[in-house]
Amino acid sequence: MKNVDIKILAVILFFVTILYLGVEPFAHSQMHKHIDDADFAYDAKGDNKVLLEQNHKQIDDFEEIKEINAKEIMKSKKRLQELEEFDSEEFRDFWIQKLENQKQDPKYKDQEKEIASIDKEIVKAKEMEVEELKNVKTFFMNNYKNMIDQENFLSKKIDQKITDAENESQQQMDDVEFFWNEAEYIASLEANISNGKKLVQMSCTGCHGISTEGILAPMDDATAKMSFGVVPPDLSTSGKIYDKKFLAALIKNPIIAMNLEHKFDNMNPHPMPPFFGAGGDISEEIADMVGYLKDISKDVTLSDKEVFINACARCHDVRYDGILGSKNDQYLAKYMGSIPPDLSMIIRAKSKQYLRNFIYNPQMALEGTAMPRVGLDKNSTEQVINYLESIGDSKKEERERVILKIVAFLVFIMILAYLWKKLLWRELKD
Amino acid sequence: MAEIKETNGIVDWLDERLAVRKLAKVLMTEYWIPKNINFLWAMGIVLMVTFMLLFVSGLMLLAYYKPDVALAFDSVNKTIMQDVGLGWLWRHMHAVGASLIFLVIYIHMFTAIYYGSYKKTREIIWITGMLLFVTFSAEAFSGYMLPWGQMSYWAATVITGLFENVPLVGEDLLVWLRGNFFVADATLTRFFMLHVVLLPISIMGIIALHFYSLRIPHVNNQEGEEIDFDEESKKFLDGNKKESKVIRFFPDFLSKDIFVLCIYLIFFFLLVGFSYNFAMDPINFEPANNLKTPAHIYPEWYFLWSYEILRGFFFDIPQGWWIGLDFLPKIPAMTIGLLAFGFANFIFFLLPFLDRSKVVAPAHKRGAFVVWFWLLLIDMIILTIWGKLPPEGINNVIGFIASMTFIGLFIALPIITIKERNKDKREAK
Amino acid sequence: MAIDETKRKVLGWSLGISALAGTLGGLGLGVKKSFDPLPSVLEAGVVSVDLSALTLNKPTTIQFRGKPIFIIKKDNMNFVNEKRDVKIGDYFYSIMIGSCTHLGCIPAWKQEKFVCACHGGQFDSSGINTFGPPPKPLVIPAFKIQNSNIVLGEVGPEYTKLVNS
Repeated sequence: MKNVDIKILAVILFFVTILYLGVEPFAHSQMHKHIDDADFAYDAKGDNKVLLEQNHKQIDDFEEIKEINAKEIMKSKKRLQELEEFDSEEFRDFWIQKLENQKQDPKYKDQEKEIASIDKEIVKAKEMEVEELKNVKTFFMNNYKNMIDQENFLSKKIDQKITDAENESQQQMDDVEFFWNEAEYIASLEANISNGKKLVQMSCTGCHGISTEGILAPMDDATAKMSFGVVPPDLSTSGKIYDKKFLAALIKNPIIAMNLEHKFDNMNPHPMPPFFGAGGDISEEIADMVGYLKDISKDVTLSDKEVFINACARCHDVRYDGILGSKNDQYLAKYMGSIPPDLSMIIRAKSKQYLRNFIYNPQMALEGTAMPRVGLDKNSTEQVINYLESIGDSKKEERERVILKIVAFLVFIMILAYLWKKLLWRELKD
Repeated sequence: MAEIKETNGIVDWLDERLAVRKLAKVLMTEYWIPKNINFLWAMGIVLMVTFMLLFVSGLMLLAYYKPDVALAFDSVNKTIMQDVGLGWLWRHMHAVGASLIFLVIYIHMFTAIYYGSYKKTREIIWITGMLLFVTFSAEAFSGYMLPWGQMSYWAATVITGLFENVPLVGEDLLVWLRGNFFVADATLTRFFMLHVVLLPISIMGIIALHFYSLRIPHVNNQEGEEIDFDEESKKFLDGNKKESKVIRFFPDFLSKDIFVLCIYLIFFFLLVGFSYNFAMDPINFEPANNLKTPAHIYPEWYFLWSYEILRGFFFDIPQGWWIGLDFLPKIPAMTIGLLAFGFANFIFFLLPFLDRSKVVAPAHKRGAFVVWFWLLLIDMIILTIWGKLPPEGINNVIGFIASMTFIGLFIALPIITIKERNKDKREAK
Repeated sequence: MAIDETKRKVLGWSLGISALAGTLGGLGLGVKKSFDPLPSVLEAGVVSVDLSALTLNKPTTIQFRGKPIFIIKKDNMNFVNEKRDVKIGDYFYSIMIGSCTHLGCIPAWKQEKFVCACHGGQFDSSGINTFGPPPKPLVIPAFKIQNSNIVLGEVGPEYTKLVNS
């Protein structure tokens, strides 16, 4: 008896495990694309991977056209060869057949004039001298040769396009690589904080406030939203929550730094212009500005919620925690394409790792998304995720505590049940 | 008129009025169960208890749930999950319970198939059981709509949308069913009505019928042995408990069941606390949005096998191609899928009549039937897994082959079992 | 005696059957009636759009059966696709459901085309997918032409023609 029970249990567990593995991990691995885990290095790796993928897709399309073309070339060559092998009479039959076929073409349906001219040609073909037929045959063959030339040319042109696409993509990737290498270089420079202060107050405070330094934003929120779509962030805490390298990159070129090339370009500029320099060495100037921002926020400690408000709440609501700014913001909707989602329950809609990856590089996780790369460093990202968990899954701790109590009770009952069963069955079984 | 005599305590008092002693005997202490069984025979009690857990947790949820498209999502995810004391416990129990009850139903079903417990005088047990499966399916589907998340909404849209393919009245039927041209407030409130009133009451009624239908044919046993319950119970009452082939429902049978039940409940609550994700699709934590379709739409795991049969026929079939009548319109893939879907859900009801062999025995003693059994199980697991995968490329082909296999197995069943019967006859001679 | 027995049976069965049929039939009709869409829902299910009031060469968005519908009135033949657009009077009209065929986001009108903000898909002014992930053109909803109005929610011959072409 006992053995049977164990055998059955093993069979059930085996099938249930297969079922579970198939429906959960396996199915999900098939449905969602694999994303590299965020390393917060702020370099060209992720962006270039996306670029490379786009390039591959483009090349695949070209290859497909090329393959179709290659088949056409084969067909034309075969026809040419057939034609070459015909003697005059065979050619005559071929020609007449071809004209007859032409007549059946739906294109000529009800076009009496056209059909009459084809008929005339058929008569001509039937009566033609052998010598003359040879000329027509040569004419036909030349036509096919021309066609093959054209198809070969197309094939070369596609090759050229593939090379161009590859080169262009390589160029883009090199640019991105160069850009982030430079950001790394800037981040490694020694900062002159007082010069940074001067530069920031000269270049940034036209739009941004720095409340801890007593600098107010030049516009009230409503006007700022109307002008920019979103309120430019206050810079008091930027040095604290954003990565140093990212800040340097952002000041240098916001579009590449935030990875918004698909939304903004020279014709359609981002509200924040790149920093063009104040006359000195531009890299050093950027380093000074970043140094200043880091300096004014070095003693700040931010709660998880404060990090979220600084980094995310200008676009995202958390209605379960009373963060309600974006819900009916028409300017934001216009700027982002739609109202960015409320994040109250996002911790349960996505995994923590997905959120980490998404915050670090939105384009890699969801190609084409309107969300910019915000540049949070590793620590701040964790703070944001902790905050989201505290809102979306606030009972985690209580849940684990209560369940363990219930399980402990059940184990106690199970032991009693086992003893009771043993006692009862002693007189039922041999 | 019964004889009036002095009552001796509360039990006596009740016995005189309600015959409780007789009742206890009939239902418990002299309700006979075969001795030769294994833990699979505890699944009935496990199901009953899971249903009770669902009922109680459902009552608790009902206290704060709001069936209104504007309020439903937040009433579940904010009020119940985060504000109501232990609200999360009720919700997780309800979700995990809904998922597990199907797992146990499937185990219960396959047990019955394996041991031939649907045969001879036990047909009604099987049919009421299948009725329970169908009502539970409806209950699960209507309940899944209530949190009003993205998957609630789009699963409801896709599944109610199936009715559009009913010939002639399809479009009107769909609008009537939804109470709107799309899944909307009217749809939510009527499915709420079904979920909390009509279907639970039906389920309780059918459970009673299911139990009652066991009374005359009695519970099957591990060998399919035909037991003379009168004789064996007499042996038991005379004290030959070891020799007797039967045991009492209470306390002997239940003592075993309660032990199995405890193990199951420990598993249940561990899932509730630490691994509820499998029962709550992450996409359903995004509020329903009729303007935004999720990337993948799929039902909960327990519907996947029949969903895959629905999708398995992914190409239109030209009718009459074998007789050269090419001009007839093609039968759309959807219609074939729908027919196959109907077949898959209905064919299980007919199992007692498709199996033409009269022998009640475990599958491993029935020759070809054991192969049929494992093929069916494996095919349904394949259908379940491929039911979740996106319908593209090779997945379509696998889904189609698995669907055809499913249908083929049920066509083959009478043939296999008739052969089995003939062989038994020959051997008997 | 025998006749009485027969009478009793006939009458009993008549009572039983008619009571059952009447009750079930009545109940069925009752359920059918009260599950029917509300008058307000039915009213909103057929929308008539006055074409003369539309702005030229720009989409007008109408909420219809839970979905946005774009209608563009065109006078520039360069933007007309006869397989997708319908001619009424002097103008061509493109009518389509404004829900991206990729993942159902609502595309926005930008520089003579529809651009989907979610994943960058693009459709031309006749709803043909021209760029990005969308697998097929925007869907044309059922419509009927009535004088100078388009009635959404009813099937007209012009709609059938467009769908079949």
